[in-house]
Amino acid sequence: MDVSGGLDNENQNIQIFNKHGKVNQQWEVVYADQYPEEPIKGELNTDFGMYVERDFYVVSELKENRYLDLINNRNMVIKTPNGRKTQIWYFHQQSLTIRTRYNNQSWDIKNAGRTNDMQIWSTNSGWF
Amino acid sequence: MVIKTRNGRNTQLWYFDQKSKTIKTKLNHQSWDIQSAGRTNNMQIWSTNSGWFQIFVYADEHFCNIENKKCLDVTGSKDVEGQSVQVYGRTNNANQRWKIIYQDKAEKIATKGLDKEFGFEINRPFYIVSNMPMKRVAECVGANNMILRRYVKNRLGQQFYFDGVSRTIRSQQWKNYALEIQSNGGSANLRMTSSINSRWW
Repeated sequence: MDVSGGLDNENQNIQIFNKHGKVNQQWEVVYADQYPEEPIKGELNTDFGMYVERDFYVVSELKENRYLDLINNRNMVIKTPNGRKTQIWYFHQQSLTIRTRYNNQSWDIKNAGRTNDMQIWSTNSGWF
Repeated sequence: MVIKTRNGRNTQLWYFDQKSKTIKTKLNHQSWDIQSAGRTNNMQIWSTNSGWFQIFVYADEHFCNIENKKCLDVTGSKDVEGQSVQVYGRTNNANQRWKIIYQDKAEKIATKGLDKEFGFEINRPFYIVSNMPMKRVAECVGANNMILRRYVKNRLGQQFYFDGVSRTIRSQQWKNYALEIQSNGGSANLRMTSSINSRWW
């Protein structure tokens, strides 16, 4: 049983393919009565290392300790703390993405992960 | 007549009827019968008439017809689900050897617990969780294709169970559907099917 193209995307097709042992062919059977409860608002998601829907700043450890922010309300930059919502983030449990309080869009590597540029974008829970 | 995995149905249950001297099915009480009054090798069930082509003797692990001595035989020695069963001249090969298991001595079909051969707990709902980073689960969409989706609590389309009778993986939402490789195993597509036949695909 193989996730087509090895793409960890929502609605990606599952098929049969020759065994190669990579992660897109690895599965776990988890019985429904043992499926771990997902963390709710205010609880820690241990897989992702963040508390659910608990607002936070992302602070650079460069000398000036600037905050992660948005320019043109789209692209990521660092800026001095300014009290705006473009500097406030939260972890969203359902989509497993980090979102901005500005418009609730998600962190996103541009062009579906084919670049190194960071922006915010509509949430799709693609690996990028 | 064909061979199949045990499924608990009356079509797999037989008895010897003393009055007619025939072997009958519990399905409708018709008798073993060599088609066309014994002029073929094909086996079927038919209304009881006790013609020689309906009379078989069981000895030395063989069912042999009393007249033409042909034996009950898995056609072509193919040990696959749904393979036809005929009569054929005695060869002493494994495809002519049969055991009788009386129902009152047969093991009960398990309805729970681990199926050690297949590695699943019988009839216990489970998720199929990908090891890729998002830990998405397999979901059966519209009782058809299998796709990867985020886990949603209590969504039955994401839950499956192992059926210990047919030994197939069933959808918890569409319980009459089993997981199969499309086109009798000749395709890369995985889907759910209502035509459950327990074949290898």
